[in-house]
Amino acid sequence: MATYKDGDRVKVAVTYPPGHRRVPTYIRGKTGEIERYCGTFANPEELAYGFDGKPERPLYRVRFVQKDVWADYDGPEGDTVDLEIQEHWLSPA
Amino acid sequence: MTVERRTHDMGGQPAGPINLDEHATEPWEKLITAMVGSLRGRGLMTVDELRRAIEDLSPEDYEKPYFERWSAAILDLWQEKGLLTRTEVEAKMGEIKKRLEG
Repeated sequence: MATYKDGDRVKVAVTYPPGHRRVPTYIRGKTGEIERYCGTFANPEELAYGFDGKPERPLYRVRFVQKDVWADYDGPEGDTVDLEIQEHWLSPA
Repeated sequence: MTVERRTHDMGGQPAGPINLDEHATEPWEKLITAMVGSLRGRGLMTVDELRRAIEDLSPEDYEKPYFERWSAAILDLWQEKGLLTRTEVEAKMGEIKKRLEG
């Protein structure tokens, strides 16, 4: 079911559709690494409007290096941030 | 491209320190929590819908305290789903207020 495997590099889509979206603006367009596959889940972006969110979509925990996310990040070099993102927001990087 | 970042989408925005003080929970806040549980239990609302309705509040309403945001969002959802109108809820609130004052 999962398209990506642990360690794959993925890029988050840069798109700003209106409505309830589960990917914060700050991470759109950033590249990270699949930390783990979390299973499939109904799409909350549809559930938010009373639809059933089917078919279920793969969800991944994606790990980003803080320095890649924030231009002015002054914390330790190896700091990371993990976000759980559904597959329709990701493409191979 | 200029991005219209919505009010709730605040990751990375400048912010002050977080207030970590404990605060008392008001009885009405517990009632709202119970009501959300009941609405979810009866399949009348999902947490995703609640979250969406909170995000859709005006920036002014979004600044309100946590449970005030919940109640405003629930009211919007009731109206949207045809369960209760704002007018009906306000009429009932007026009735209760009168009873408590009288």
